[in-house]
Amino acid sequence: MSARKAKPDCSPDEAAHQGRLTASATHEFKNVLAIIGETSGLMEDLLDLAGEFPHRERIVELIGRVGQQLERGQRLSTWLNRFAHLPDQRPCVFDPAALTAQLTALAERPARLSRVELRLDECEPGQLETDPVGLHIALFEAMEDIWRRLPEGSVLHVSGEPTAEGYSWLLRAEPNGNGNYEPADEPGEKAARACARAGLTMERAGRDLRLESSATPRQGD
Amino acid sequence: MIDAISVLLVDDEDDFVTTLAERLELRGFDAQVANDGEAALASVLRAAPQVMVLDLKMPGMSGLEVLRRSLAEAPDIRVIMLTGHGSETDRDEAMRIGAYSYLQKPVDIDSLTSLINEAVASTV
Repeated sequence: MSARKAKPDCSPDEAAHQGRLTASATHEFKNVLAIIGETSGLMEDLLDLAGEFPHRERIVELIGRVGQQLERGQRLSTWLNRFAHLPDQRPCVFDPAALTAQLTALAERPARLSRVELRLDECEPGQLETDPVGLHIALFEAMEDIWRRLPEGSVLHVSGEPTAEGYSWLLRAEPNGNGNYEPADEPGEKAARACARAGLTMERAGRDLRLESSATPRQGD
Repeated sequence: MIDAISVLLVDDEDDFVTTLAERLELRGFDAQVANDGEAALASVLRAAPQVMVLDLKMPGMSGLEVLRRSLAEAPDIRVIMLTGHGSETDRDEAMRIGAYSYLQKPVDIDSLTSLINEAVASTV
C-alpha cells in the first residue's frame, strides 16, 4: 500500500473528540426517546380512560410496538454512550467482559449485514489494564475477519474468561448448512495488525480462534 | 380528604416534563414543572414541594448544584435524580449530597410513583 493510500491512525485527541461529541449526542437520543416514551405512555393512560371505541385494540397494539422500539433504542443508546466514553482514559483498568458485551451489541448489525448472527455467550468478569480503544478495534477486526468468511445463516459465538495472565476470548464459528466453511490458515492482515497492536495473541484451534491478553493491572495501582 | 403529594419536575426538555407532569396528575399527584435550576429553586421557596424529580444535566445551573441549594433551603424535600447517562461518579456525588434516589431514564411510571410515595413516607 502506498503512503498516500494508507489510512492515518486516529490520534488520542481525535478519538477523544469523536467520543466527546458522540457521548453528547447519545444524551440527546436519550432525551428524544424519553419524550417519545412519556408521550406514548400518556396516550396509553388516556386510552384507559376513554373506554371502548373503534380500532381501540389496533391502537393498543401500535403503542406496544412503539414501546418495543423504544427499548431497542434505549439499549443501543446505552451501548453507544459507553463506546463513546472509551477514549476518556487510555490506558485504564476495566472489565473486559463489559467491553465485550458492549462490542458485540454494537457489532451485531455489521455482522447481520453479512447474514451472520453474532452471539454473546458467557463472558466472566475480569480485569485488564490497557488501551480499551485498541482492544475494541482488535476484537472487532478479529470477529469481522471470521464472519466475512462464514456462509450466510451462520453463528459466531463470543465468550471470554479471566486467565492467570489476563483475559482470554474464544471466537467459535458455527457454520450454516453443510459446513462449506474452512477457516483461513492465517488471520486477515487487518485483524492480525490490530491484534498485534493491542498485544493480543491469536491461536487457531480448528474453527475456533482464541485471543489472549496478558495486560493484567499493575500491582499497587 | 388527603392532600395530593406535591411534586416538582425539573428538566430542560419541556415536552418531557410537561408530559410526565400530566401523567402524574392523572395518578392524583400535584405536579409542577421547571425548566432550569433557577426556576426550580424559586419554586422550592415559593411552593415547598414535597418531592423534586431533578435532571442531572441542564444548561446553566447543574442538577447537583440545584440539589445542594434546594436541600440547604428546604432540608425536608426529597430529591429523586433522573438522568439519561449518569456516571457512577455522578451517582455517588448526588447521594453524598443527599439525594433520596438516583434513576436512569427511561423510568417506568409505576416505579416512579411508588418511589415518590416512599420518599414522602420517609419524611414522616
